[in-house]
Amino acid sequence: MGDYRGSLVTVRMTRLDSYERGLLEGAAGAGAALAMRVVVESARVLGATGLVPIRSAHIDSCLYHGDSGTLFAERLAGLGARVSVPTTLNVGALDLLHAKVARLDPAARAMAHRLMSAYVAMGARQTWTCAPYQAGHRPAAGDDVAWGESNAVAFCNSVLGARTNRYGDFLDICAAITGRAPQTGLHLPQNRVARVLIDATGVPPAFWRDDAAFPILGAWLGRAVGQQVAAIEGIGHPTEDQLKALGAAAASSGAVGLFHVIGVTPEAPTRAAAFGNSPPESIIPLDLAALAKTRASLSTVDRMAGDPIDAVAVGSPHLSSDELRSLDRLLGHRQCSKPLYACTGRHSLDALHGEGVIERLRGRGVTVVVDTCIVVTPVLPAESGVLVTNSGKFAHYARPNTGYDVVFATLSECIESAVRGSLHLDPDDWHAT
Amino acid sequence: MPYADPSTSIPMTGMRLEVIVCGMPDEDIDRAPVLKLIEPISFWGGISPSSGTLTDPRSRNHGRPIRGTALLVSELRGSSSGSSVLLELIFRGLSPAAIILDSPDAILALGAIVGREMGWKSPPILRLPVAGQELIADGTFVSITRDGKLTLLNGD
Repeated sequence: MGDYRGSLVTVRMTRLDSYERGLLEGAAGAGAALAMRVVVESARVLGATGLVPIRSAHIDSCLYHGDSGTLFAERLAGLGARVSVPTTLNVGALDLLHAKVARLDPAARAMAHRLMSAYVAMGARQTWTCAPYQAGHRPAAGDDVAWGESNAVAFCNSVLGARTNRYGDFLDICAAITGRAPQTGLHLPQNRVARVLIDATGVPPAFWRDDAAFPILGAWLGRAVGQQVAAIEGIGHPTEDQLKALGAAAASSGAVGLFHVIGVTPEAPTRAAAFGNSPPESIIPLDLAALAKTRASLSTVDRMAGDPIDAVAVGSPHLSSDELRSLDRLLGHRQCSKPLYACTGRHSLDALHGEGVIERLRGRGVTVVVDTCIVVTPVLPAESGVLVTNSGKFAHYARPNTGYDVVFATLSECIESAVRGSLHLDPDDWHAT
Repeated sequence: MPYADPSTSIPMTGMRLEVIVCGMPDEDIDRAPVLKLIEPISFWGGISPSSGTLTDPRSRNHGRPIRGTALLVSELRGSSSGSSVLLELIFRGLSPAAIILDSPDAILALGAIVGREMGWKSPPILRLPVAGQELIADGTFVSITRDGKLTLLNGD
């Protein structure tokens, strides 16, 4: 063989309307023009034939990864760019309410703060949460939006039925400024139809009463389907917080941007609706053995009840006010003997104002982390150790991002472990059924 | 994964790659060593943005620097923060000379697009399906023209 020819994709032109061309030519200023160039270039790479107007945005680029992100945000802000649609902000690298929580060096702290300030200057709401959908940002079913942060994307598409792709850093803010996103992927109805049926009817119903069930299902789903759109049947009627945990785990173990739960989520009132009246392309039966295997895989070390632990973390995605109330109730009057980190957003603190929940948790030794979380910035006390968590997403990222090994557990096991200072494991009641 | 060794079994002259995002400056690359990633990689978590080295302890490439390489990526695992990691590598002068992907990826492309907008030296992102990547061995040297013609260089 002489010349190898890769299969060339025909480069299509992205069609722009007069408003979009105007932005590109500077009609709304140099900052908006820069943002539009980024949107149009991305559309070209994605092969999108046009752009779609968006109604809101959620920005993940406000998390500090290095000085370059700060310089880009300041370039946009300095050129006068402002968001043109309602826009919320994901976690930053700092707890702005409690300065000592994140242990960044002074130079990084200053740059992380400048980054967060640049996004505020561009007009975004200071939500600083990975659960914007529980902070009042709830687009309607069918709305096109541009969201970043993988769990937020999965929730937005799956639970709210609004339409977004998994927007990467920089495209999120550029879409917020221009009000446009590449018209491709999950913005197109034909790409939202389920292809794979997950048949969970063989799993004993008692399993779904275990509070760890949904992150386990999510971790399994992400690995089983990757980017494919799946519809799940036979898991009862999960709560919003359970769907949140499912989506977060699925979006970290695989590239899941949209899933359906038949009879529960808005685009899947029936199996036929979920599949667009076509038969599933494939059916994957789910059983307890697969879920038990997934559960074991979420722990990175083998630990027995009674073994020492170093810390406990809950709240990825950020805890809702209901989840903070559960934490308060389960902890009762007991004091933590190991650090217990509860990550949440300002919206939950506001919702619990006057209830005494946060004050009681703090009084019992819980560190309430706001605006950020333990896997995106240095919060944990050491460079390594054993962390107990009930979050599928923390289980996925804790080891690479913090150096801590993970023991995956239920919420009550997490709390008992923090109180006792050693690993506590409940018997699996679903094994008996 | 078995692949043909172009120095012995295949009389190779060159390959034409699709240019997904052009470099900054947009110029020919005369000579770059190939760093071939067989395992899937996520830029966020897989490459240190401060040192520019591969950080997955399970990878056979663990610890290798990517600076100045023609980085061959068979499969990307996409954290959406991959664009930030690439931009930081570009900013610090630690990025590959060229990034060659199996299929177009908007997340990595964004890092290069923004790098170009900031006026920083940014690598071109090119596309070569895995079948073509298999003809290029790790550690060999290649040249890549600005319009995407890749040539294996002899005598190394």
